[in-house]
Amino acid sequence: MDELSAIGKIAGSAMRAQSVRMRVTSENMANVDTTGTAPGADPYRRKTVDFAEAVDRASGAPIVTVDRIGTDPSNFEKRYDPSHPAADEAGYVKVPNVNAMVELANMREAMRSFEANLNMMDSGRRMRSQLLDLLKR
Amino acid sequence: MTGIDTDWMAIASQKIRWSEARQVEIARNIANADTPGFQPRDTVSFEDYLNDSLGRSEAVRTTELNGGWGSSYDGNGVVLEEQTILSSETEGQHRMAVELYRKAHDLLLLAGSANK
Amino acid sequence: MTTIDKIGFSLPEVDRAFGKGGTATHSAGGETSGPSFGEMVENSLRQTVETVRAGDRAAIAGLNGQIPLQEMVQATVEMETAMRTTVALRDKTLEAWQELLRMSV
Repeated sequence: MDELSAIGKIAGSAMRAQSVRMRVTSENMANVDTTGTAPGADPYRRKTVDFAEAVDRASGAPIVTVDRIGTDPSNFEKRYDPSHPAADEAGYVKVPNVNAMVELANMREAMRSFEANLNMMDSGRRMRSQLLDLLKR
Repeated sequence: MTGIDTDWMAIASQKIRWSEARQVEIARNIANADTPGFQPRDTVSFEDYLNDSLGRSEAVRTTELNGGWGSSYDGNGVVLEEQTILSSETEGQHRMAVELYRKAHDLLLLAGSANK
Repeated sequence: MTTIDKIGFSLPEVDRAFGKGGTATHSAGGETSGPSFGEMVENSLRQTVETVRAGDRAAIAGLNGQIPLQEMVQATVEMETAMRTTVALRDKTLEAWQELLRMSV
């Protein structure tokens, strides 16, 4: 496939991947306070997104994909709240390993990357159009 | 008269090819800004490409970017700002080469035009 | 590539047509002092050749990123103007020469 069309494929794949990242980040943010319901139960566990390179079967272009949506293995912190339904014998409740600041930064980065890829896609389109103009007249 | 070094229509054509190949590498770098362990790539310089290809239409060689602006903790070496600036430059160079190619073609038509 | 040679402007033909050296027919009107038309055309062509060469050099330098864009654009525009002028001149001269041929008995 010609170079300029490849740019569109590459940028498009990255935009899709960053969209997934934004969705997962939103999910984390929405569940920043989601504790368990039974005593000693685990709360919401933070989700992570891993990107990987792949080769687009149709075009052979080097695209980016979401390799997997995993979870953050870090330990849950505890909050003292003995009246809470998820409180253990000592009165502590496990809270999600989600940091709102971190998720916000993640979201900003994902948006920035998304935009950079969108600009690349536009650039590729403009370059292609420039070239095709040579065929006029 | 039409040696490789004076035939700028051919050089313009090579510049078009080279700048397109470079833009693909830049697109790839930007797409992989968050891929763990990914190192950005670039094409060889235009001068090197001219020497490599000697007027033939060949694919442009790429190499891993050295130095650059540093790596992040997951081994990713892409700096978005750097790549974005590069992509603007490259698009500009592509545009110049296309316009020069068009101009060369027009001048050929002009030179060969029959009188009325 | 973009040389004056391609335009097919031959100086001896111009000279012959306008009565400088060679076998000339009678001159229209009185004798003119100063450079002949042939000489003027010759000078104009010499300048054009240099402008075109400068344009060629500038295009290559521009593609290699060695000169600023503005400089390259200026030189190539001048080159095109010079070439267009020369082509117009060539066409007019050939036209006049053809008329001259038709006139001789």
